[in-house]
Amino acid sequence: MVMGIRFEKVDYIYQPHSPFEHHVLKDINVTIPSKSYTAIVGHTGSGKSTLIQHLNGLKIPTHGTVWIDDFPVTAEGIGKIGKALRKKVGIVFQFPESQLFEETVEKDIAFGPKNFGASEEEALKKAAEILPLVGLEPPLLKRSPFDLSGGQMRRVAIAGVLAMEPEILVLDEPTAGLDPQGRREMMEMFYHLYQQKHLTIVLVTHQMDDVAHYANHVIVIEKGQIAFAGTPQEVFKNVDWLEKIQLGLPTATHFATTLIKKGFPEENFSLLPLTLEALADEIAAGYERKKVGDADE
Amino acid sequence: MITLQDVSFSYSGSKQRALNNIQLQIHSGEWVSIVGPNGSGKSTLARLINGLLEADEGTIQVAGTTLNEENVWAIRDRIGMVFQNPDNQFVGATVEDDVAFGLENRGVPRDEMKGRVHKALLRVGMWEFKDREPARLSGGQKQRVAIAGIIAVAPQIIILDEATSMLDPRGRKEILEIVHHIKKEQNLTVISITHDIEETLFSDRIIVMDAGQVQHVGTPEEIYTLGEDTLLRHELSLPFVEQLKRELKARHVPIPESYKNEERMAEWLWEYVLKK
Repeated sequence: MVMGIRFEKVDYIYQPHSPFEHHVLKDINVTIPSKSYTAIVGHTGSGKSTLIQHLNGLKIPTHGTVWIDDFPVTAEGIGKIGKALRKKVGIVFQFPESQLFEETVEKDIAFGPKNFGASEEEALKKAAEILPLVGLEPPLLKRSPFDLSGGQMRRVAIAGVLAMEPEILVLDEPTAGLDPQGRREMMEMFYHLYQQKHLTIVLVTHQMDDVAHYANHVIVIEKGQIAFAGTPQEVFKNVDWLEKIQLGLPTATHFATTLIKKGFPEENFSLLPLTLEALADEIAAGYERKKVGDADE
Repeated sequence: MITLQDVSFSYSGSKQRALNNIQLQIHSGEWVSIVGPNGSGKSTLARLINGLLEADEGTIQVAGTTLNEENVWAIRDRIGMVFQNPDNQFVGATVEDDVAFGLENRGVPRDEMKGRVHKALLRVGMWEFKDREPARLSGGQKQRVAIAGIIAVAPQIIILDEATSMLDPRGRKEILEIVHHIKKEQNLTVISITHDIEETLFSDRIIVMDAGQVQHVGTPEEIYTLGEDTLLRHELSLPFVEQLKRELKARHVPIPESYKNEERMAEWLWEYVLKK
């Protein structure tokens, strides 16, 4: 069995043969490796959300096949594999807190497992197990989700997805609308889950700093097509192209390009820095070289 | 332009004061950022200034007039407010109608109205979207339309209440740059309420609020160099350049004493640390 997610010649056409026809995805051929932390980046309207909705059959290709491990998603639909697929792939949509509906936090989290055949007791037990994973305390279980803060509500919604024990966790801009500290905490939480549970993570994001910090694989999507796929280092090396398509750079990489413009020779970077720490290391190395040079004179 | 004297406010049913004895002056043509954690009182302050809330104690003056129940509408005419969620502030079926709404309310004649709407939409780069439905725009485009609706009315003060927090980095930058330009052209006073220290770069002054009180007031340079402990205590992050300085210091690399923006910092490092 070949593991991972593979898009093979996938087209998605919105309302074909109608005046609203729109070719959202065009000839997508790309692989998301199993156990990778893959970031999908692109502008609003580039097709990223449509792409991820193919991962659990919420959308099906107009042509081509999406393989989720050995499950095929095709124009024929997902038929009998639908339930297994939705257990395998958990999707956290944007502003997931808007989908909370139960009277208590534990009932909300238990809803998914119950739907998949767990008994009431098992499902509530699962809810209690999951809660600490999203950084919430047990007393919250009996509270109404609507009495919580926005950030806590979002964590409850994420717990509901995790309670299904997905192998693939898809996150669609999970930190949108949070303050900087909330953003950082939530990204750390996902990274911890990634390491602990050995999940495959697919993160849709506009934050290039998050891509630089957490992802080990990046897919750039532009106007419904794959514009680039590779490691963060390979993607961010294309500084001019990224500026041209206005996706931007990680803050540290941007600073490094400013240093180059001021006169620092590009070849002096052993690797183009993507993070603050890498940037500081490169500057410190440059300083050492200068000190050696000064001493020689 | 705006003066707050001994202003206190509590929400009904709450024993704690949301704002406690605030003294503050904001000058005409100034860009002031108000930063602080959730519940610090920063949004309450903005709502008091445009009369959405009424102070329990103290006085608020806007352009020389002391706010009271009778003049609150007149004062609100001078203040345009952009809220966090762009979806909660549209009334028109098209972008053009939406921008015209504020002018219609004020009885502006039709010909003049058309001209002002046209100018405002051009100014925010949204004229080509004039016939579109506001709900179908991106978040950044929606906030640009909201800003057009405000500048069409020509207020003297614009309040951004976390107006960019739901936008992607590009949308965020666009909004801040548009407001920056309009401010310069029309000598607007800008009050920007934000969580994000990186968004305060255009400010003349930054006010740090916490627990209903003004904790620090200063230029960006003064606030950014307050040190990590102070900023973290108010749940603010260190600006990128200050983070870099901290990392460099740990690696025994010399760093400049004063605050520098990214451009100046890169120049300084090249000149004093890297150039052979």
